[in-house]
Amino acid sequence: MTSNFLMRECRRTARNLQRFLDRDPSAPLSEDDRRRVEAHLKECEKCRTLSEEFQALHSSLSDLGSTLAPSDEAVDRVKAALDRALQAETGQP
Amino acid sequence: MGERHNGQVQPSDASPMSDAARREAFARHVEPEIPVLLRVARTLTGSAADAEDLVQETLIRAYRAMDQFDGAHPRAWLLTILRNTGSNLRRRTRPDLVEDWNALADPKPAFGAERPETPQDAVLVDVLDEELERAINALDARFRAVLVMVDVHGLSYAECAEALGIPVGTVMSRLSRARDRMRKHLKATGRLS
Repeated sequence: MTSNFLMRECRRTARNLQRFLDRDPSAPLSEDDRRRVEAHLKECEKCRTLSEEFQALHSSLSDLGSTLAPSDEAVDRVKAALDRALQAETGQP
Repeated sequence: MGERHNGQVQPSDASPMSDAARREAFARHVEPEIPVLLRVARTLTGSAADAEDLVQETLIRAYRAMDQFDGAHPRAWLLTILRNTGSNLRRRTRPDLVEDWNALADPKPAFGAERPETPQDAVLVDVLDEELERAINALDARFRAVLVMVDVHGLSYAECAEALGIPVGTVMSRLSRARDRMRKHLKATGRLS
């Protein structure tokens, strides 16, 4: 395998890596692109490291999300305020 | 139910919903989304109290517009109402901050450019790994909003696009740049090995 081919695949992988990792339904990769990224990650240590770093970053940010969930009290306050506002508007309990 | 109108409250030709049907639809489609709305509102407003006010106003508008909701994608519908409501509330109550709010949807952010800190720039992360916090705060507000909504709060690209009023492609490009910045920052400080 030539280094030119490898560099081309590295660029292609870098372009598609976020979509490959996210699997977001709004922007799916084609099956062909998905297979190419998978194959390239198996053979290229540099891109594999990059992929692992993005996964670690996502995992840290996602963990952070669980600590930032709104409290049950906040949800209850919003519901109670909504009930009061609608009651005042409609005159119905 | 009537047609979906991108979260705008518009008059409907359909016969009005009964109160019971409206309450039932609201409980089924809207109430389960309140925690997500609070998270997103917190990202947009920068304060827990403002987020609760914004979500409350959003829910009132959603309740009034239940007969125009088609039953599909309630989260996306609510995020659009949230964005419109936030924009209106901010214009009415804090005209000094309207520009900061609108800047999140600016199609041409100056990536990496230094901008003065504003209340809008305050990131909504209270309990955080310090280095992670520094890296998030170092991002331009527009990139930070996308990163927080997708990676921290778990919104899809499309939901984030609805919340910010920007195309999905813009979400993807901002997310990619934000992550790359974060990765480099955390790597340089030894947080990523």
